Amino acid sequence: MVSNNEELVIENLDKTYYLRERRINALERINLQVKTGEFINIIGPSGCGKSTLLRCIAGFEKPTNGRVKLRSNEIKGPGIDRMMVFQDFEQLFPWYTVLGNIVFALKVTKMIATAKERKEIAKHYLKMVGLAGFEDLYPHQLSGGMKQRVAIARALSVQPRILLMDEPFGSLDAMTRSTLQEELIRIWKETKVTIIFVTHNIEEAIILGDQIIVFEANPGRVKEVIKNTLSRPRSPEANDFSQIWERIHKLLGFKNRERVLEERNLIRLFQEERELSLLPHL
Amino acid sequence: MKVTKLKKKSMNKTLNQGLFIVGVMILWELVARAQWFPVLLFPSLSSVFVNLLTELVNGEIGGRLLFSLYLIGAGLGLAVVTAAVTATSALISPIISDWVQALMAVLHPLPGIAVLPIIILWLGTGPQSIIAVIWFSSIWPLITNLHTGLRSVPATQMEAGRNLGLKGIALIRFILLPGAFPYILTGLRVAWARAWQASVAAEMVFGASGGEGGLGWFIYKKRFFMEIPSVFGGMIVIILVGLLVERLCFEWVEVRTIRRWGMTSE
Repeated sequence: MVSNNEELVIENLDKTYYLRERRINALERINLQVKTGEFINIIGPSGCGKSTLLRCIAGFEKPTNGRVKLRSNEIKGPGIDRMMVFQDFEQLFPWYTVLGNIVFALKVTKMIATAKERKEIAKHYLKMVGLAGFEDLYPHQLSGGMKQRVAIARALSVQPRILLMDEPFGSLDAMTRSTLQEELIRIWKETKVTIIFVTHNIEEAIILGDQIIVFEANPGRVKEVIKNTLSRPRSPEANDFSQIWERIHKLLGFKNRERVLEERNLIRLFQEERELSLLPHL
Repeated sequence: MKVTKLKKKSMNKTLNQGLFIVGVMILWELVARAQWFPVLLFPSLSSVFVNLLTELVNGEIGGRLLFSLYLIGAGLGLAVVTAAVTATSALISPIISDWVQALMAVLHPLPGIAVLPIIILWLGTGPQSIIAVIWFSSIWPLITNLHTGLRSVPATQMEAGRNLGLKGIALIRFILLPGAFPYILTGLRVAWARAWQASVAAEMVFGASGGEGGLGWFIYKKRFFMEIPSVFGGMIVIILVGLLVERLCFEWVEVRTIRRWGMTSE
């Protein structure tokens, strides 16, 4: 099943945590292939390890077993061939302007030699995300949606092979969210970048993805891979849209009572652990 | 419209405060001239200023001020370097972090001047002892703020930096330091104030035996000869330097950095 246009291959990936002597299988036996230029969506309940998988691809975390390969090279750590866009609005550097954030990215990655060129390229990407004219503002002067646009521009400016998006629109209001979804599709077509997009919003997954990978939690596993061949632009009103919606909903909805309780317990443990780990710094 | 209103309000505040200071000064002058207290102990403000002017002209106070600034510069400079090294090591190793926190908890409550007697025994009564006391007084606010500041940088910003290939020193220089800057500035402010206090206090303890000295020694010496207007003059110079450094250095930096970046709590 080896073909030339395989961008990313995930082989038998496990990720195990230990939380107060409790073993947690965040991810179990994940196998995935992503083709060059594809738009992949990962959807699942909270705690299903979808963000962890993205962080393994980004190289922020190491898999317990198995490997992630980018164009047949095993991923060992973070790199600019895989750029992450986070949900958190704080991902921009507040001490740089909008333009400065992108110029900085181009500078430290030594992508572009001259300051003039860096500025031009930064402006090009700002224009792409619809922020021409906002170059000299500082992040704190931007709305949430604009911050996410800058983050996308900054990530794209270093020309990654894959754009990793961890619920980037999760903290936005519905209107801004749907505008940004449309624009992301336009940008994706323009740059031909491969996108792996994590969400817990079914509608978002159907609007965006070519492939929707449905995860289940506890242990985090791939439940089903759904091919999404709806023609773009996709409207939630369409009949076939709601068919896919129902299908995903059903896949996500199957949870017995025991699982729900187990999950709640885990979330509580996580929170306690967080509070504990904060203590020494206070 | 809202901005002008706010400006007007702050103008009123500045005016109000200015008038208050002027009022206190006039009151001082009047009370001194009424001679309710011995003139020797409570000189008029005008005589203080006349004296100050003479000492400014003959260079006495300028020399003392420069000497004080040199001591503070040296002590504070050493403290900044020590704090940077300590906080960075604490960042890299959790074990060192624990040690630093223990040290902070134990030594922070100890006023710098309290270590002077032992420092005199170890280092003698020269400028080096004063520098040591300044160092000890200013290092704790620096370490505390740096330590907290470096940990306050959001994890996502760190990861955004790592994603761009930054690690180690580069990550500290490009992401952690600017991210911690609000805390660093606060630390420097407190440290500067502590350094002044320490230098003035330390000089008064062995001022009589040291040949050279700064403003603290100046005040002490003038009191020894009962030149009280000069004692007040020395105090006024300390106040003015404090105000100038706050306005010209710290505020200047603040407006151009953390306020512009929106990193203040206001």
